[in-house]
Amino acid sequence: MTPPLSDLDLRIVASLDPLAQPFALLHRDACLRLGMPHYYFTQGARSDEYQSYLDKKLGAGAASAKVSKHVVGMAWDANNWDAKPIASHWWSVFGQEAERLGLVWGGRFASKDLGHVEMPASRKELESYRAVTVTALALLVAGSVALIARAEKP
Amino acid sequence: MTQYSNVTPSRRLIGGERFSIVLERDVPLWGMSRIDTVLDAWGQVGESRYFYTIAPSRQAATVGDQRVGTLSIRSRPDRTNLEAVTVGQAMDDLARHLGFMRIRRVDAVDARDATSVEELAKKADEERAEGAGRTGIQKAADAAKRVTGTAGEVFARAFGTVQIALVVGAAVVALLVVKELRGTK
Repeated sequence: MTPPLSDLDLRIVASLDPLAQPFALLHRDACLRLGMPHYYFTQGARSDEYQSYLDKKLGAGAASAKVSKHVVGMAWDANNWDAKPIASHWWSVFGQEAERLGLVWGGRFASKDLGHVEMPASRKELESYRAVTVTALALLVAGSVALIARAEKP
Repeated sequence: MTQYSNVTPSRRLIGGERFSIVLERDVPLWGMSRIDTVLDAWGQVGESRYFYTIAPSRQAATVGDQRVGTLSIRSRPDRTNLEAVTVGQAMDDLARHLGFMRIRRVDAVDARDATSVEELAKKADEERAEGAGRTGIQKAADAAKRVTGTAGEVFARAFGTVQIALVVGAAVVALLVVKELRGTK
């Protein structure tokens, strides 16, 4: 049994898109089961403004708000620290388990981001998915309301 | 080894007490996100067991010839058993949260500030009201048990489902509009 999520971990996972949340939990579970000492979520969804801040003010490898999957809640960062930096062996396990779940591991990026994991579809597809989901829900709600209103007409 | 000034690490922590901490080195990009999440998270209040940040919470400074990061923090007044820990234990806990960088020096700046304590307690109440997404997380945990296939397959299925829902929703709405128009003729 893996240790329960801390309040901070809960907040971070809850910030992700509902589609990504189960995979974040599965990835954590898989790493901990294989003996990784800890698995802390570092960040989940980021606002446009915050991602732009990371990109523009800090530079050094942060993706722009238009590219980052953090902005659409489809990427998370995690770390594994216990009094000293994580042994490189555990980063391999971290990446291997992400890829076993079909996720994309930041360790494969040209500018390596070892603690980064994201959903596999492109940012454009993920945006389309979210837009379609919201529109479909809005239409279904509107349709249901109209049907109810019609049924109640004398 | 963390140095302490104006305070001994063995002293009990007091709620609402303010500290300035100097980190081992300047904060790297990914470290910024960790600190933001742990402590202030750009308006989404983060979670540290014993501390809160005070804006401006994070600054760069030069100690000797080295660039370091500093954080201005206050101990949370809303935590039970806060005063059961020592300053040193609480700082160790914070260092554990920060994870990647050691605390070089801790300066006690001032003790309890009644007004700020009230403000912080109010903020903590608001946080609790938000519920930290616990309901949502249970759904995610249940969904994790039902996951079959890779993330790509699950995404493709979910996308297909919402597209069908979109078509059905649009058809229902269009049908209702047509019926309504016919009815009004």
